[in-house]
Amino acid sequence: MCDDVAIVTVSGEFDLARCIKLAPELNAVLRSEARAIVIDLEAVSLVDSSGIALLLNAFRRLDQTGRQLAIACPIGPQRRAFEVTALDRHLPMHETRQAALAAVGVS
Amino acid sequence: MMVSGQIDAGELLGASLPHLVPERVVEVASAQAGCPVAVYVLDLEGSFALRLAGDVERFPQQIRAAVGVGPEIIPEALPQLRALVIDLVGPCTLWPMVVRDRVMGFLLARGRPASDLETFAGQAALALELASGYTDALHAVRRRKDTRPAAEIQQNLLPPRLARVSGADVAGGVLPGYDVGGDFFDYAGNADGLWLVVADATGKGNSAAAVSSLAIGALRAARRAGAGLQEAARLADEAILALDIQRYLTAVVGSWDADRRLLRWINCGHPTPLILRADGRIDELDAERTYPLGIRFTERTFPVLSIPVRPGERLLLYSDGVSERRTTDGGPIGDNGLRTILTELGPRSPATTVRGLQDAVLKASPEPLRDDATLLVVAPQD
Repeated sequence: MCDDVAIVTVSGEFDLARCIKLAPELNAVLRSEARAIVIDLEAVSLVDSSGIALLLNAFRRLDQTGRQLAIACPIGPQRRAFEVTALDRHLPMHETRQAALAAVGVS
Repeated sequence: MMVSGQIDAGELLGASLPHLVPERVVEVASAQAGCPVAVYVLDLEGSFALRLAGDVERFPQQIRAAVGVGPEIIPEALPQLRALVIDLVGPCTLWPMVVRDRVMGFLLARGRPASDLETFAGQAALALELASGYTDALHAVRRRKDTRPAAEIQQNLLPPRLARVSGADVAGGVLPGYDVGGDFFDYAGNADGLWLVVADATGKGNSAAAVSSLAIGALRAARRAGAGLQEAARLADEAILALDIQRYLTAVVGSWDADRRLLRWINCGHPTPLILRADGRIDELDAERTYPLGIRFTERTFPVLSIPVRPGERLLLYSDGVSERRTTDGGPIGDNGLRTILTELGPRSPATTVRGLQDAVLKASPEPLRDDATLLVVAPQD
């Protein structure tokens, strides 16, 4: 894939336990030179409030430095937490990994 | 029946040090009844009656009785409680200790009491409630297990679990009582209506408790300054943002007007409240929502929605710890599961409805609760 776009893939339950495991990888990517990050939630079964908080913080950090985030999250159980919190209207959500990549200029 | 020598709450409280009030209650009650009497209160989860004072040889330390919402006994469950107690200790007489609409414990006499302690039980209840502001004696007995700091904060944030205010009966509960912490419910019966809040701070433990306690402070401060719903939500939002700890709070903040029988509410990223209508239908209050408090994208607004809630109907506010509770088959109770439980419970009292929903959460799985499960039920009066 493209050098300047990092992809982070999450699978299973995106809960507190997963966040703790994922934090080092995500932090490394956030500190890297990547101009955009795609977070792929296609293989996630559900997202809880810890997962949402982690994504929000990533979004904020990228936004502050003028970098792009794209979240790949199909409509379904994994989209539920974003809908309930009304964050689906504010975070850069895409239904597929391909659409998320396209949104950050990778075809 | 003994009428002379009645002792009231003021005398009970004034004559003893606060931590000795339970012993004094037993002493006076035993003298009046002419037989041994003990005082019991419920534990934080409303599942055990625990002996606060009384002869350890004659009265069991704990009686398993899932008859409470938090440490308050559901009035409709008193017959069940009596049956459970008689089963365990044999012939006895039980007088509920009532403060307004809440049953905060009971007096238990073994044998045949010479007088009725109903009036005294009310005075004892008042004295114990007031004494508990000065001593840990009552709080310590109510804690069947050690509480975590976050859970301790949470317990102290909550208003009375059962109340009759501003034209409605209200019941609220949080499980588990001893751990997690981060959810809260709040209400206040004011001249301009009944304020209602159910909220859930991200994450668990200490930082969640910090966000929750700050939010409840902001909401109460706004309310007590005469602010409206939007202003209250804005104040809580700004307070959490100012903490700058990357935590947020989902909340429903509402106000029910008894005269117009109208609920007005704001949903900040929180699970959709439900109304059980008189014909058994369930309405979801999912019209519009904004994102959680403590997050800022651009200038934000707090849309206020309204819907009638009338006598015979039940309004349910809850946190995702209820709907996301895992069942033994691996999946969550879910929104549909919650609606089914609510329909099956029917138009019972708010206290019975909260306990019924809590039982469903507890029985869903033998696993301990991973998240707070919070419920607030409102029933307008005729």
